[in-house]
Amino acid sequence: MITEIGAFMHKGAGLELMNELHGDKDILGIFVEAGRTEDLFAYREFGSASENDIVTILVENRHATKIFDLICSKIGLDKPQRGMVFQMPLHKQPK
Amino acid sequence: MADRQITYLTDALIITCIVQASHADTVVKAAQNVGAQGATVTYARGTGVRERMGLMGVTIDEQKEMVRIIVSEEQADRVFEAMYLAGELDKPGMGIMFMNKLDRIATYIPDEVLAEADKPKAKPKPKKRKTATRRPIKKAKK
Repeated sequence: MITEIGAFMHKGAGLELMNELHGDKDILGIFVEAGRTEDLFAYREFGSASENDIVTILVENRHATKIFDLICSKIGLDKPQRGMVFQMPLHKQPK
Repeated sequence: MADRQITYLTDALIITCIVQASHADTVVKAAQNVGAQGATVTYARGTGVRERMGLMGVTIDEQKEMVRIIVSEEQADRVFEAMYLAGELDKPGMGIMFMNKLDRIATYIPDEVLAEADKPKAKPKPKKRKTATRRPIKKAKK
């Protein structure tokens, strides 16, 4: 089974994370999107919103916890205003 | 580094809503009005309904905005409904939305909040049951 790990983080951090993790053998795929967020960060470039990166990582279930914790530590979630990481099961996958 | 700990949060869902460009703010405001903290919005390009609608399809914007909101299980249905109505998703070509259950979430949680959560909860006092009292039955005088 494959699971999806998503992460909301500061603009620019997503690309850095992708460059660090793209060589990891346990990661099946990693994608970065750019967007805006209203609640994650106090500094807001656009009045009510701030720029952020959304990283999506696909991993096998058995590696999920390791990768999840790795992302948490890379983002630095022990400090405020760093973002959010979440894990979501994928029920169907191509053979 | 050794003292760093990750606290996993559970019982949460992610709501994803895809609407036409510039409609995201309306949807996000509606979600915030019913208790959502905020949202993350990205830009995308959509296809499908636009082509199937024929000539009417030109009225639908190809540019889309994708709204993602993480909510707790208790508020999920309420936020979902508010977003659906605000985005007018009951009309053709307006967009689509879906909800996924999350296994876990991690984010910064202040120490005082963690300490409060770790406190053992006081057991609620058991309610006194009304016990049936037996009264002697007076015999009716003949």
